[in-house]
Amino acid sequence: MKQYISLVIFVGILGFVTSLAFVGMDLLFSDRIDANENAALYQAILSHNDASFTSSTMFDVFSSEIVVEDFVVNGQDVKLYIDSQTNNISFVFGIFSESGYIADIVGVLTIENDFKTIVDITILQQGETPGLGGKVVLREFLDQFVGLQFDDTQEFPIVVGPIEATANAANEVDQISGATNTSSSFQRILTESYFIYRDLWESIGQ
Amino acid sequence: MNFIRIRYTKWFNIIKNGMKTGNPIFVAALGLCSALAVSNTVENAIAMGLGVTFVTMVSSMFVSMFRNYIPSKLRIVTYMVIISTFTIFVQKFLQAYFPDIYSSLGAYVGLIITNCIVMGRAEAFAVKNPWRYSLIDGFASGMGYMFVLVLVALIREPLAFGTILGYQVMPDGFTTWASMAIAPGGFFILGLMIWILRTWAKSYEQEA
Repeated sequence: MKQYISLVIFVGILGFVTSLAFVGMDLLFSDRIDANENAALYQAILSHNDASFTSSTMFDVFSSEIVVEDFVVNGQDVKLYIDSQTNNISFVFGIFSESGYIADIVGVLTIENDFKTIVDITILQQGETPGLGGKVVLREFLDQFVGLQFDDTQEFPIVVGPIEATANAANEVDQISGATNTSSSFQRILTESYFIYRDLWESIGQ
Repeated sequence: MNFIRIRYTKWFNIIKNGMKTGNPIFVAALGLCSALAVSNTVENAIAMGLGVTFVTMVSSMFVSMFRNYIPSKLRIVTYMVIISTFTIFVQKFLQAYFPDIYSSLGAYVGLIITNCIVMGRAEAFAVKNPWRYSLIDGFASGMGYMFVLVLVALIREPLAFGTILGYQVMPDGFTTWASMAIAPGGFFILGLMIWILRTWAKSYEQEA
């Protein structure tokens, strides 16, 4: 009996010390992690809108140039970022139910005021297979989206099509590789996010 | 004369064991999963190697320091808690100070928890030795792991991407080998590397 009590006490002490360590780590790193995530987001939005900024002026330029519209979708806070100079709209995709083949793919997409024409797209976070699905972050893949138009009459308003496809449709790009399912996951992520944000955009009378 | 004396010190032999005669990858064949996954670029190999080295060092040190207080029935659970705490520390540190490396390593940083090298050194060495030797042993095993990872990455990265540490080293027009970027490419290179390094270290399987 005494032996079991000492085991329980040991587990309790171990749990307490570990919890303290986790709280300490959170205090130590959480501000910087949040700042990194915000900086990556702001940098992407400002770059998409061709704003001139440096790392030291980024936050000031962002607050003076970007108007943020807040919404709640299924209990989740979401935002539309509207550039007051260009009238382009940016939003964060990949934060709803659809995810990548292995992990979440989160990024920023900037679209023109018609809510159809893509201005630019950047990936902020992904955990796909390095060298395969991980190529979703590469500019050579993402640059294909620039200038394309979402076709919201289709099931998939943007098609991440088969490799070597004709790629001549107004809403179609070549897929990352034939050896990964990340392309179709990415297509589903963009589709889901586009329709949600389009409805939000229309809800504010645009 | 001094070198001969050093060769007979315990710490020298611990380092030699971790790096060469008991190298976790090419002798013990531990931690192969992450080795195949992250050795496609030199930068990833160095970051992962340093992460594993840190976790192995401090985990071994803590296991050694508290080895007389850890109940034998709970020792594996306790090792896991200690290892996961330091792995999460590495994960958060990279996320805070090296976000680019963190995102390129992806899930593999968190998977240091499951790396057999860390648990192996705790159970095989730290539980029987003083903390300072356990610290050296963790360092040596981590460096042995990183040494092989970097060697493999030095072959894979130029073939897969035409670069080393991001600098172009292959001629213009070089056709990159997609297979070298993914785990099967790492498997072939690691196999060859194990053969070469075992020959160098004269580490052969004993006939039964």
